Amino acid sequence: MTLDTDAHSLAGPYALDALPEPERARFEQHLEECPACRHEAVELSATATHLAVLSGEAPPAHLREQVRARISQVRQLPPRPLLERPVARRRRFDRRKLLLAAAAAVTLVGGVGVTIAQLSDSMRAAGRQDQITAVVAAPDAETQHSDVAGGGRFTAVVSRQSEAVVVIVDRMPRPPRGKTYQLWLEHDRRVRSAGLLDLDDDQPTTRILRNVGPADALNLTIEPRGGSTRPSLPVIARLPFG
Amino acid sequence: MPFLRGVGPGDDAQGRPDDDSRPARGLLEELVREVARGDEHAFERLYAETSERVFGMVRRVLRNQAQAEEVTQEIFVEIWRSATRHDPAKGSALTWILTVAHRRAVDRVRSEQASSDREIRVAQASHEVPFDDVEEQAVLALEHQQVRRCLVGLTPVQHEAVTLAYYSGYTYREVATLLSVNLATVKTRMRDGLIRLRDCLGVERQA
Repeated sequence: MTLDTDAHSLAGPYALDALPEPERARFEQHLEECPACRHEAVELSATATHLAVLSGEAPPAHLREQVRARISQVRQLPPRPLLERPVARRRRFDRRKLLLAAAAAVTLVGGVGVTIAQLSDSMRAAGRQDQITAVVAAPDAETQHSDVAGGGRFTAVVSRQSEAVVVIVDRMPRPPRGKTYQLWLEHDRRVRSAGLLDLDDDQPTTRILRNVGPADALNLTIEPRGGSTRPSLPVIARLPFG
Repeated sequence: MPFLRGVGPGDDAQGRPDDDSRPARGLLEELVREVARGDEHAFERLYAETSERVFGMVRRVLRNQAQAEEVTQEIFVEIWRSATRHDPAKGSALTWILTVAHRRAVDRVRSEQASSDREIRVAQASHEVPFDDVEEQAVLALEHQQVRRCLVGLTPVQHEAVTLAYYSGYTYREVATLLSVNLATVKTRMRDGLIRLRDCLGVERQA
């Protein structure tokens, strides 16, 4: 088997640091030449780092002093020379383009089941189409998505400039009797309610969260009807903001 | 740029789970930028924000307190040295730090490969269910819980392949031996397991 045909399957071991030398060096060389493989390797490596959360343990206090003493003796590497970067352009969108861009962004991440027509309908139903499309089409909009425990798809489009998050849920079951879905913004190890999430009759359901403030993740839980002041576990979906 | 600033920080925070969820992403990015300019105070804050994750992971991989301390020290010195080279386009600061850390820990494991305790390590690990000791931790972080929930969604072979490599520092060849599967299978299971984990966690997607 040549490295080329094997490259995709090596991305897993590579991301887990499970490639012994010289295979690792060979694969890294291959990554230089294969943007798609590099893309996947970066994503899977980022995924693997989440596993570190399960083994947190504070180091002994003296280690901090040792590290402090060491770095005062270590010279930092000079930065790599700056490459020419394209200057980000602010583009003006007309309304139709905005909607198409929004639909395209959502369809990309939502996969099958979200069509332009559905999205458009659900936005109209929410009565906030312009606001939503403006967020989704913002130049800095980033999209995150996650499966929901119990079924469905949870998507958030985040725009720092707009200080807003568009939430889209699709194919999620009704909450159990007497229960409701609730959204929670997380920042710096704290959470605060971002409101209850009532599903539209025709999914996907789209909502916009405004004046979001500092936040680094959005969580979804099931709460007693009327909502809670702190989240009940389990968290059925969590989206870290990129 | 601070992330989604504009409202007073955490002013209406209601829940405060005693958790270990990921440090604020914008904060770490900012700290790494400051460290790159030689700011030792920023480095100390960076250490405070990430050392628990780094040390805990390294300790788990190496299973030796003294070695874990030594390697953790090496990791933070490397972070200090190469903060100037961190490229935010290639991932978050936390991803970068944990990637450097895991590779260092695993390199230490490999460098001892020649020594005879390798076989002992393998023998011990084969009796170990990678997750049991974690179950006992009382901490219920949101992310912690999410990661565990997502791991449950993996098939048993995917789960074992991923966790044996990550937490025990085995090569995929060693994992194949431990699981009695062939090399092609173990490679595929690792990749499929990570993809499933990625989709479940909603990990930062590359544009």
